[in-house]
Amino acid sequence: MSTKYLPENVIVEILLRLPVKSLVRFRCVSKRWRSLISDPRFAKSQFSQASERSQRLLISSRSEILSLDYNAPFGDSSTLREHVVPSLRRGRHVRIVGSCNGLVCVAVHRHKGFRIWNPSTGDVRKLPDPKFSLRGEDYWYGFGFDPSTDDYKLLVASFLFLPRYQESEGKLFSLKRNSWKTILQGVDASSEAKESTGILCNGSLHWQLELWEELDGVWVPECRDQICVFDLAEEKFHEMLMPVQVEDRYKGIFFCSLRNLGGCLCFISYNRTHIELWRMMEYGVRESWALMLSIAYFHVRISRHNLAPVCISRDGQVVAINDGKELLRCNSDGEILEHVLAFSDSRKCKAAVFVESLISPNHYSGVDGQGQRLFSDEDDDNCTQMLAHLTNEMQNGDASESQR
Amino acid sequence: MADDGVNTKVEAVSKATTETIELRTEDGGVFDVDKPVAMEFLILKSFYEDEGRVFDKTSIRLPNVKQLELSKVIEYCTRALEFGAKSAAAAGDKDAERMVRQEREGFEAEFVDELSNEMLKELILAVNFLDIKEMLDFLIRSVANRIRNRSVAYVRQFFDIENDFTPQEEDQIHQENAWAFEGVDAD
Repeated sequence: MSTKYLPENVIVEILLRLPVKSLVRFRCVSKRWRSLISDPRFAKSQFSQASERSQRLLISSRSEILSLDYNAPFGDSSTLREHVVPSLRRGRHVRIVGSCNGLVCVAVHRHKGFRIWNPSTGDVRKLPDPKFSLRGEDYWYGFGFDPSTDDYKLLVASFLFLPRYQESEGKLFSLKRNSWKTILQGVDASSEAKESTGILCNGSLHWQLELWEELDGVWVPECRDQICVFDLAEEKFHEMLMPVQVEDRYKGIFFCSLRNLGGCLCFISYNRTHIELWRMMEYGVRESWALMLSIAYFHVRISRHNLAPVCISRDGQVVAINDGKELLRCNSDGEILEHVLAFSDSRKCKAAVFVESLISPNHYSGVDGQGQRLFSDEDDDNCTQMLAHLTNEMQNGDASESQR
Repeated sequence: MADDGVNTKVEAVSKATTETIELRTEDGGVFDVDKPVAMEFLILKSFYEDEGRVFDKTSIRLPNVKQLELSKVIEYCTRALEFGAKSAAAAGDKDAERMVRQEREGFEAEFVDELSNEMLKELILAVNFLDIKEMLDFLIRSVANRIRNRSVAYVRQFFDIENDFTPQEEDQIHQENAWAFEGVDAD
């Protein structure tokens, strides 16, 4: 009559090898299991050890929030999931402000009502009001993980444009400190960020600066060759230069944006005929920017000024939001493989990639934890493979070299 | 010498003289185990190394292990050592390495397929006691694979866990994350 109860340390080892979906379900097995699975250290171990991290696309429109597995066909509705941010009424519009390690930052207003939320577990934490004194016209946001202090931080900056200069106010929230801190920001008066959400890469947030200038009485956007960087550990701004090669091609570039794809900072530019994807192979080294992809516009329906690539799928396909309402999937030749209307009720849906994890925003409030590996939600092993393959192609100088 | 008809002589991995050690299980099984295999059991290894004993053919009694489990453990560890040797021999040759890997995966899949849930747990307990890291890791992964898409009820039964939630509490957990309960294998 041997005891058939497995020792708890063995059970924990078994749990650590399960995917997030199973773990969320098994919180129901018993109170002890719920306690084990909800433990902050378990969440961190599971996250860093997971051999396969399920990544999903979170889409929010005026009245609903959905997520889907972007590696599956859009038509496969079995991967579609509806979300409601706890404590917010269903249908309340939220803007997605950032995503990191399975935590998504959403905002109800532009300057307050921030919440850090894990869509996989439903854990949510409402942040205190930043209390901006400046009622700005424009806002920057950035959310990310600082491994040096094992802390998640949210940056919100408010800008007011007045003739010849701009006023700005920047605040930084730390989950551990549970407080907002006013920070100095070093952006000069003549620039504005093209997109308000900073891109997390290498422990820093990045915004691409855009300069508008008046040419013969017409305001023309000109891609300025600088990226504004906020280091989460030092809590300071500095600047980084854009690709040298892009400078020459400024004429005819309509829209640029930054992305983190495969763990590397990428820069997307749109000219008259192509979308180009540049990747910074070595972080911080300007010469290491390399052209990875060039997608020709194929379909007349693409709104060239409003095509926003969101992520790269396992098969190397680019998933993008077109005109704020359509989901597109295209291959590296620019052929559109799939497109669906994301929401029937409105334009302007925003999307972000998030990874399934058990990390909870409520675990961070002064509790000391082990250092956690920085992992942007768009870091995808398969994406890295695809980019590595392209790098290979480039080095061999033969674009027609077939895959092994 | 009580012998219940289970006196196994295991093929040695290395050639020549195979030192063996006799292991006796709590239900009367007797096994002649080759030294390399026996040394995978860290509980035995430390016994010999710490005590500074000479490895001789003393008979060791394993109080927490039954003969069915021990025969399975010996089977796995022997094959694991063989695969280890084959892998080392194939080093550098990608095709050969892949073949060894596939062969090993095939063996492991078959090995675990034959195990009932009860047997799987008994093996884990035995291997945990004998302190065999590689096999424990393999068994743990196997359990994880077996339960990952199963229902809460199935998991409770598997681990002999009593449900200490009230129906209302359980309902609430269900509702908070309904998505996690979809697409689960039928019991």
